[in-house]
Amino acid sequence: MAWTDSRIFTQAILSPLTASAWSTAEPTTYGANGLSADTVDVALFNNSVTPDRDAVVGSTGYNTGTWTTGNEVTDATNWVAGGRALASKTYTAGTSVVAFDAADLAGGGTLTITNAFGCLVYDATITAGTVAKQGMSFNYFGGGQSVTAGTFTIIWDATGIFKFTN
Amino acid sequence: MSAEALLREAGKLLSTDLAMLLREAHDQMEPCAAHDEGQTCCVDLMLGPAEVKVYAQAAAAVGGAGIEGV
Repeated sequence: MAWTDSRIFTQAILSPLTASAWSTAEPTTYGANGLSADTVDVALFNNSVTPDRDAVVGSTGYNTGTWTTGNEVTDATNWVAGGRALASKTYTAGTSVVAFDAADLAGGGTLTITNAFGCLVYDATITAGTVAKQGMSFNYFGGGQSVTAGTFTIIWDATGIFKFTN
Repeated sequence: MSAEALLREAGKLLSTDLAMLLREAHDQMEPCAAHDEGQTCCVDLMLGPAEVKVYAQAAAAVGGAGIEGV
């Protein structure tokens, strides 16, 4: 099934996001300072993917499972395969919520993007273990988004890229 | 098919490099007569907006008795 919404991977919640809550081992090469120190990349994908929050961990990484490069949407120069890195990351608590956020993410310059339906947010620093480049969340754009020889910017939700509420 | 629809179809046939050259050439052609009159010019119709902002939905996990609706 194609894109319908945005979700956190259950396996990302199990580990690494809440790894220390139940003695769950962190992924290999997951930095001592976690997401704050690691490089978190954002890759664009078409509507041929089947986003599954409950996917086994081995299918949640970049270029694994449904998130293969064959389904990725790229620009040859300014949004290449693998995506672009988040900047100004934050992990903050509010009223009944903890949220991971970052600065809005723009392409590196003039580019052409065709039918990007959503993105995979993944930890590019995780390079070994059950899965490399483990996905944290997938975020839907609400439909196919395109630009020809223009600029392309992802505006994250005001409440964050992904969040936990209680 | 209307002229506008034809231009949009023509834009889809352009290679990325050609589209970028067309956009760059247009941007150097100041003033664009159509824009001067507050209208959409042929290049705009062919290439679409020069700036696209995509609004990404937040991924949310709801807790409580346990994490549900992840």
